[in-house]
Amino acid sequence: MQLLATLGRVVVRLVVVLLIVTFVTFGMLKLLPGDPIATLRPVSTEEQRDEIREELGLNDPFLVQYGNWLRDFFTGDFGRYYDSGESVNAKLEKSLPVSLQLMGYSIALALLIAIPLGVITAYRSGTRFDRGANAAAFGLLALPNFVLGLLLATYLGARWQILPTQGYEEFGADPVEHFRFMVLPVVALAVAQIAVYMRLLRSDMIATLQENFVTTAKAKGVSPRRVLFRHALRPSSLTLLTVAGLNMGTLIGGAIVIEVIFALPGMGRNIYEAILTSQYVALQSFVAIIAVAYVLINALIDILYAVLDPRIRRA
Amino acid sequence: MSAMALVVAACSSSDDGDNGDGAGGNTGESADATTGGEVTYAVEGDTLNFCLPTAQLAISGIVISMGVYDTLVAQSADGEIVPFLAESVERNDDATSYTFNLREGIEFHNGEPFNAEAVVMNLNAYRGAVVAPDVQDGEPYPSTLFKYIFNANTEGLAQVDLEPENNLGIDTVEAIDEYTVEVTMHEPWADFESLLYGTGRIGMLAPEQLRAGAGEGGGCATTMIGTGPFRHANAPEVREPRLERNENYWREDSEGRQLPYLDAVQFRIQPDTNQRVNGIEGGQFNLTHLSGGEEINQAISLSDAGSAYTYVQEPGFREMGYLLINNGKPPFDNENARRAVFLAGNRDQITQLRNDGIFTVSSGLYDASVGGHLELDDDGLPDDTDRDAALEEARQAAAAYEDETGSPLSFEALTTNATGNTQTLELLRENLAEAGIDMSISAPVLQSEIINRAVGGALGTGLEDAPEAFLWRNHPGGNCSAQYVWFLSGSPVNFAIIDDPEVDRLYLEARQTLDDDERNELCREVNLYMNEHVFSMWTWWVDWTIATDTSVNGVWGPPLPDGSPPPNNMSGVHRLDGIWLSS
Repeated sequence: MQLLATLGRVVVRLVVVLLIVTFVTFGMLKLLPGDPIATLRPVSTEEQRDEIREELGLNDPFLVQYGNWLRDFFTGDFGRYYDSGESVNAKLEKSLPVSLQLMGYSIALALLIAIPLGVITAYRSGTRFDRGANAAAFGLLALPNFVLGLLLATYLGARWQILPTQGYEEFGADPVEHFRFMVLPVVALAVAQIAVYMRLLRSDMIATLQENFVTTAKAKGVSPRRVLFRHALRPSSLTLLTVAGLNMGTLIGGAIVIEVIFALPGMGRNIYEAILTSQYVALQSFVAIIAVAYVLINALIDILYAVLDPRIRRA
Repeated sequence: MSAMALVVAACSSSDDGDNGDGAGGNTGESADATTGGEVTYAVEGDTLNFCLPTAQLAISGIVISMGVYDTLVAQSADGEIVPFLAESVERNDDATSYTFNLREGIEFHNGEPFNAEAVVMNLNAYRGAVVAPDVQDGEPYPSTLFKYIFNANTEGLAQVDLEPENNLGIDTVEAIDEYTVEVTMHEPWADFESLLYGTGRIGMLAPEQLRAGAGEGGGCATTMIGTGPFRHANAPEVREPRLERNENYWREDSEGRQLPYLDAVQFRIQPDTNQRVNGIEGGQFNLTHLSGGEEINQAISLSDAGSAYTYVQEPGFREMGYLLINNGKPPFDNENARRAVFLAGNRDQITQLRNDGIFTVSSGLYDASVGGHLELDDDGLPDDTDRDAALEEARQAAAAYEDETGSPLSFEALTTNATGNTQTLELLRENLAEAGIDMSISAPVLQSEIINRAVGGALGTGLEDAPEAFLWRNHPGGNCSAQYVWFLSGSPVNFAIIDDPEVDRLYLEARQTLDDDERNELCREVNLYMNEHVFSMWTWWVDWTIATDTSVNGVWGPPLPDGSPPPNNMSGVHRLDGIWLSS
C-alpha cells in the first residue's frame, strides 16, 4: 500500500515537472534568436522559407505546436530533425546508452574515490593528510571539466599516448577498447564530483563520529574500520545521496561538453548539434527526457534513503 | 568565419613531399602505393544536407562530397579547368554553347548509368528547372544559390523566374545523344566551366538520389549516390559518414591499378581544433584540416618532430579572412566610414597575434596566382603601413564622417561563439578605439543567423536587420571573374551589399570575356576599384593546412585524366582516391 502511494507520488511529480519544464523550455526556445529554417536554407528567399515553415508546422500558434509535441511525446514519438527527417527516437537509441555509460561510470568512479577519502579525512580530521586532501579538492573544484579534459587528452592522449585522445568503442564490440576510450572523459567528468562528495561526506562523518552510538561501538572494542564503514558511514550518506541526485543536472551539462571534446556519440553531442542547428523539436524532446530522468533518479534516491536509514523506513 | 567556397583552386606546390612548412610524405602518385586499409578523417563541422543542388557545403562537406561524387570538370593544381567526367568539352566561338562529351561505361553506385539523361537531370536541378516526373513530388528543386548562379539574372535572384529576359546564364540543357549534352546560354559565358566545377560542389548525383526528393525529410539529403571513388556505406548517416571503396570506379592510376587504394574513409566531426591535432598525434585520426594559425603551428611542431605530415597551402590560390562590412546602410554606405575603419584597424597586428605569425596580410580579393592579383605596395588600399600616420588619417576620416552625417562613427560587429572570432573582434575594437571609433561586439549568435540576415540584406528584403559587419572567410582563387557571384548587385550572396554600377559593369564584362589576359585585366580593375573604395577590410590570407599521420600518402593523388596535376589543398579540399597507407 505504502509502495503504491510512493509510486503514485512519483508519477504525479513526474507529470507536473515534465509539464512545467517542457512548457518553459518550449517557450524559451521560441524566444531564442535564430531560425531553424535559416539553418536549413541560409541562402533562400523568405517565400521559400515560409513554405518550409508551413510544411513543418512552425507557423502554427505556440500552444498548438506545444500540444502537438506533447501528444507525440507521450505516445513515444520524439519528433524528427527538420533537415534529414531522421527520427529523434532513432538518434536516441544510439546515443542515450553512450551518455548513460559516461555518467554512470563518472558517478561510480567519483563515489569509489570520494567515499574512502571522505571517511579517512573525517577520521583523520585536522591532520596533514586531511589538509592536503582538502586543498586538492578545492583545486580540483576550481578546474573546469573541459579544461581538465583537454589537458588529459593532450598529455595522456597525444603526447604520451597512454590512452586515446577521443573516440568511442561499443562495450559489446571490444570491452577493453571501450574502457580505454572512456577513461579520459570519465575522469574529466568525475574529478569535480569527487571533490564535492568527499567534502560532503567528510562533514557528515565528522558529526556522526561524535554520536553516542559510535562511542559505544568503540567502547565495545569494535575495530576502527568497522566503526567507520559499518556504523558511521550509512547514517552519514544521506546528504551525499541527496547531492548526488541533485548533481545530475550538473553532470548532464558537463557531459555535453565532454562528449563534444572527446567525440563521444552520446546524447550530449546530439544536444550540442541540435542547439547549433536550431532543431527545436529534437531539443524539446531531449530536455523532456532529461527532466524525466532527473525526476526518476531523485525518486530512486528517496527510496534509497529508506534503505540506508531504518528510521526513515519506520517513519 | 565561414567559407562558402564556390570556386577553390590549387596550391602551387604539388610535388612529392613538398609542402611548405613541416615535413611531408608522398603526396602524388607512387609506384609504392598499396591497396587496402582505412583512414579516419576529422573535419571541423558537420553537414546536414548532401542533396547538392540545394546544399550549401562548407569545406567539411566538400571533402566528403569529393569522395562520393565526381564533377563534369575539375580544377588542376595550376588553376586550369579540365574535363573529368566529361571526356572533352567544346565551346563555340562566343561561349554561348558548351558541348560535353561524356565518358562512356560509367555507372553510379546504384548501377544507374551515367549518361546524358542523368547530366541533364542534374543540371536542371542545379538551375532550379527540374520538372515532374523527375522529382518525387513534382516540385522544382528549391535551388536558390545555384539557381542564381546558373541563371545569372542581372536584377537578382527573385527575377530569375519573373523576368527571364534578364537571365544571362543557362538557356537550354539538352541531351544530343546518349553521351552528349549541349548547354546553351542567353549571353556569352566565358567562365561557365569554373562555376560548373564549384570546388567539387557541382557533383553529379544519381537520378535515384535526385528523385528521392529535396523537400524536408527527403532522401536526397541523406543518401549520397554518385560515381565517385567511394560509396556512402552508412546512409542515412551524413554527419559522420562512412565511405567504402567503389569497386567499379572508372579511374585507374598510371600503372593501370584500380582506384581508390583505400578500403574506406570514416569521417569524424571534431570542432575543437586542439583535439583534431591531438587526434593526429594520438593516432585517433589519420587526416584533418586546419585553418587557424595556432593549430597549424601545433601541427607543424608535430611534423618537425617526425610524428605527422603537414601540408600548408602556399601563396597562389588562397582564400581570405576579413571583416565584411555592409555597404548598403549606415555607417558603411559612407566611404569615409569605411576608410576610417580600415585605417584604424591594425591588420598586421591582428594577423600576427590572432594567427600565431602564420598568415600574411592580404592585398585584396585575389591571391598571387589568380588573375587580377595586386601586389601589397600597389593595391589601391588606404596606406596602413605606418601605424601613426594611418591612425591620424583614420581620425580625419571619422571626423569627416561625423561632419557629413551628424553622428559619431560607431557600429556593431556580429560574432559567433567561436573563441577566435571574438578575440579577433576584441583586438579590432581596441585598434578602432585609438581612432575614437566605437565598435560594439554582439552577443554570440549562430552562424546560420548571420548568413540569414546577410542574405536578407543582399536580397533587399531585410536590409534593416542585416549585420553592419561580421568576420568572414571566403574567395579562394581560381577563375577571377567567377567571384562576381559575391559582388554583383542583386546576388543573394552579395553580403557586403555592394551596389555599384562600375563593379557590375566590370564583372559582367569579365564574365563574357573569352581572352584570359583581357579577363584578368578586368579583374584587376575591379579589384583595384573595390580596394580604392574600401568595400571591405581585407585582412589575411588563409593558409589552409592538411595534417596527416605518417602512414598517410598520396593526399593529392594521381594526375587528373588529362594528365594535369591534381588539386592539392585547395583551401582544405583535395581528392581522396589517391590516398594510400604505408605500414
